[in-house]
Amino acid sequence: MEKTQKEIQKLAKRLLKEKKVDLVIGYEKSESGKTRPFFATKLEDTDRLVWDKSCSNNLAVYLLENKEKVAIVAKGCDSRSILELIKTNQIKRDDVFIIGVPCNGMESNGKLLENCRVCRYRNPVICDVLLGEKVEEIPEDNYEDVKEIESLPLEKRLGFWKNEFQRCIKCFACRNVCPMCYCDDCILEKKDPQWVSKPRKKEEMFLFHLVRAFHTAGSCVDCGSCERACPVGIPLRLLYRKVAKDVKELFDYEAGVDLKEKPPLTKFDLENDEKL
Amino acid sequence: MKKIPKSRIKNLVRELEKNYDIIAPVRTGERVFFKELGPDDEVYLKSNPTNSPKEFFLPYSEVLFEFKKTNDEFELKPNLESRERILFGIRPCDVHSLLLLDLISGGEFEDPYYKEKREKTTLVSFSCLEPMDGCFCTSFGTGPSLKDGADLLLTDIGDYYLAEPFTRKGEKIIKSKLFENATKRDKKIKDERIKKAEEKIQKLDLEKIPEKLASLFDDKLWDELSKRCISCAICTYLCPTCYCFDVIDEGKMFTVDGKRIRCWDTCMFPSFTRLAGGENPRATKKERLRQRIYHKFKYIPDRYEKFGCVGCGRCVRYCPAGIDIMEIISQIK
Repeated sequence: MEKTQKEIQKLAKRLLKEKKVDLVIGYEKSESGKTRPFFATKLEDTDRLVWDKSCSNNLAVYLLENKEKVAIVAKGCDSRSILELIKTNQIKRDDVFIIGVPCNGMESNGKLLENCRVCRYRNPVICDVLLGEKVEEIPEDNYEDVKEIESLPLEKRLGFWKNEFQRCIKCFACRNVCPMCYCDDCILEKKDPQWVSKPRKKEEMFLFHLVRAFHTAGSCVDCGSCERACPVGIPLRLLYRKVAKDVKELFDYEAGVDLKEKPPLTKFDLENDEKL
Repeated sequence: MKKIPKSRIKNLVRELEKNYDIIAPVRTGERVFFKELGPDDEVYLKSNPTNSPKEFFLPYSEVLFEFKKTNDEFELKPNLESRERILFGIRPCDVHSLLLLDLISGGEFEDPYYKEKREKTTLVSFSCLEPMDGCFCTSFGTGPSLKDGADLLLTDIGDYYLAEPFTRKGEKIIKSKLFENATKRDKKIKDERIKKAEEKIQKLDLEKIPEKLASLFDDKLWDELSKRCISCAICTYLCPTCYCFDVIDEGKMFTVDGKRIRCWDTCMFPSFTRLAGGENPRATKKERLRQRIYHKFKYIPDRYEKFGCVGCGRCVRYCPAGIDIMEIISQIK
């Protein structure tokens, strides 16, 4: 990984020097040693770019506010989000230089992150340059976690989520950290018409979280950023993975894999599709 | 001075429960939260909860009053009353946050809702012998222990907790038969342990920070620092001293019959300052992050001669983008 880090720094420096980009989005270490997003705009900044097992943030979210002449370090999951952003016309392919980096899974306190355990796209799906050696992909994700909760009776599932959602403090970290939440005017905050009220109401917490689950259906790539950001530990991935599994079964579609394939909710054919 | 065997803490909580509602740190999965103690809940004292105790004094959504209009008469029904309760297991940093909120919600425009809850709450604090990553309370002239501010302070001295009451409410609690007499040696052990804990805590030099900030308002530092911010409310909602709110009325259609509700709001959301015409004086992340720092390290000190931060470290530990208030302070330096 050290070698890749040097290559990232070198490439970032070159891109900035040749004015191919004005900004390189990558990772750095804070003074206390925490890995975090970093924005290199000057040549000397590039020495601060790091690459190691703690580069877990999905950087694609920052493309929504830095759309032009930008380079970005992308692991498999970041690249899948970028692909979805291109597909949904949020960014233009030619405006972004993707520095793809294969990833063997990110860690926290020496433990592989939960989403990395089931990730099947460890190599970037789209990039301009690939730095580092390609890594072996793991076989099929069998959605064991989702199947387990699906097997519970309705009452139990309801009780489980009710208990989880009641801790929500509506900090919006799950939405704001998500690259696929790009709406200028979010339904969860809209006042006219108002769908979710400002006070925290137990009965509305389902609506709050299910809206997000439905809105990211077909574009969530299971990068795990929302779940890691959630300060109260709501198992958001489990919810979104249930939706991803349904999308796969109903539409035979997987987010962030093929740039040419149309998003499922724009191509389905209700009359001719047997499953629907 | 008294002490209580560690094994009797459970009994103490059960005893107190008879006369009070108890709010205490409880483990939920891998996390710890302050919550109202239920019959199956156990008090967990090994780490400072994710949420701050402010939500029990300034709830996320609080009905201030109900209103109704019949004929030409308005009827207002305030929702003031609170029950007697004990906040058990609050650490010194959070006690200091309440002392600051007392100042802010008092004075000329007193907040009766806060005051009612505060007066009905007994604080049983525990000295903080295991500071966490990101803790920097000693920077504010406070630290892992207390000299006052709580009603009772308990400190882990091995097999016992040393119990030091600071108020009558505290004295009343240690009258329980569960407590035993403490010795001078117990006090000495406490002092040594506090000193050790103090050494573990990162200390920042805060001298002249408000003065320095006065000249940094338009500095490009804020552009750099705010780039990674995702504009969520984690830092401010977990913060024990952030108190900003929004007030909304909820009513039934076609009648004047409803509630006025105070809800948490945050300077981190663009909507916090967005005006009706669409103009936003804090339009970008730069202005918003700057506001958070200025409020704590300039505006509050200017007004109350005290910093608006207590160094609990929650914002440092939980920021998904790795923004570190300690690092920001040292950069201002």
